[in-house]
Amino acid sequence: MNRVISCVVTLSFRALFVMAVTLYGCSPDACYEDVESAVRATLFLSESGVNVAPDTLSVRGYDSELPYLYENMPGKKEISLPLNPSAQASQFVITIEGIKDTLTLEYSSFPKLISAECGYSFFHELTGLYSTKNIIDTVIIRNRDITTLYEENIRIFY
Amino acid sequence: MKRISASFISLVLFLMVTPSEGQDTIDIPLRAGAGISLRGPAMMAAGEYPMGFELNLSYDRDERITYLADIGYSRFINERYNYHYRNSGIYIKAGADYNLLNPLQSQGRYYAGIGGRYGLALFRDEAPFIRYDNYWGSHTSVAGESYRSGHFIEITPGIRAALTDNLFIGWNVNLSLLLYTSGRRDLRPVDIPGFGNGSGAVVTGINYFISIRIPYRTETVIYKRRVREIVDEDDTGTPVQRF
Repeated sequence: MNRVISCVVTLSFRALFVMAVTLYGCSPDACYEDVESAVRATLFLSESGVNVAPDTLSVRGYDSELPYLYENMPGKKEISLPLNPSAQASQFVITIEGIKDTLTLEYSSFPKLISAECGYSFFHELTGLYSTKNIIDTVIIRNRDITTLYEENIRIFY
Repeated sequence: MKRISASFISLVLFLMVTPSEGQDTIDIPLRAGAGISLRGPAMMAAGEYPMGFELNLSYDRDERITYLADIGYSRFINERYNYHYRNSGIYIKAGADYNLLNPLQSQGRYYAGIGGRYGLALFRDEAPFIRYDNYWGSHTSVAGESYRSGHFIEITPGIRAALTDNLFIGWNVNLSLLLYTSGRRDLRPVDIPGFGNGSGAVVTGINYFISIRIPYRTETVIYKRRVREIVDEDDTGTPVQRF
């Protein structure tokens, strides 16, 4: 009987130790969340008002040094446009079926804690949206809050 | 260690007692005391954050319910490649524990039950370095020092046992729910004193403590006693009940 009780007590302490180690070990150190905020833009044909992908689409920041975000991509109905948190406006050159337009987004930025593991991101509030009108017809803001969530923020009619 | 084992063996033995039927009385000492959490010193010894200390005050209302107040100080520093964050502050948690053991089992020396706490933290924090990389390059920022408060509730199942007449040890699991933090919503604190990870709404943890609890009154408790029923047969084979 004493051996049984001794076993129970020993196991209780071992279980406690394992639980403590497990809880300590469970402190997640890796980041599994999306930390990059971006403007989610959807493309619409202005004639029909239908969400249609252009034959080809290229997008890059308004700076020849910057790489393409999308380069001659077919089948893109939605695009993500990351904003510059160190500036109050970001410009993108959007090429739809070989015709270029410049899209300008104005906004305010603020840091946002994602998690202890991932650190901070920058979220934005859109205050203005403009475009040249070579192929783009109209641009409208649907949701001013630019976050890490995949929500439609603007619509581009071409 | 032998004393600890003996205490927990006694607890196990009491838990194994068969429930009783009929009435009897038992004198339970009601205690008041103070103790410390061993978590803070352990974290300090390991060089981990949050560091700090916690004083635990307790007062038995009756043989089942104990009022508690935990008062603590905590300091937290987290320096990662993409941000630095630090805070320090005090907290108080107040609530009660309910002993699930009946008086015969607990005898004022053992506790296995569940408790609830309301917690308030008052602290200052800052993020002196924030780095964010995206398509446009690397960006740095700061979140200046701010004074904040945090409110949370806890559910705390746990165990306590007497090592000697007045010296108790125990542990409990904390399941904490963050209710509110003051300050800018987008700059939530990475850590909240007494609560833990501020970027999560629910936090779990474990706490070990040691305390001195002095009896201040003895309460006589009536309990139902059930004696093991022995069924036997007499010489003629007729069943006979013995108590």
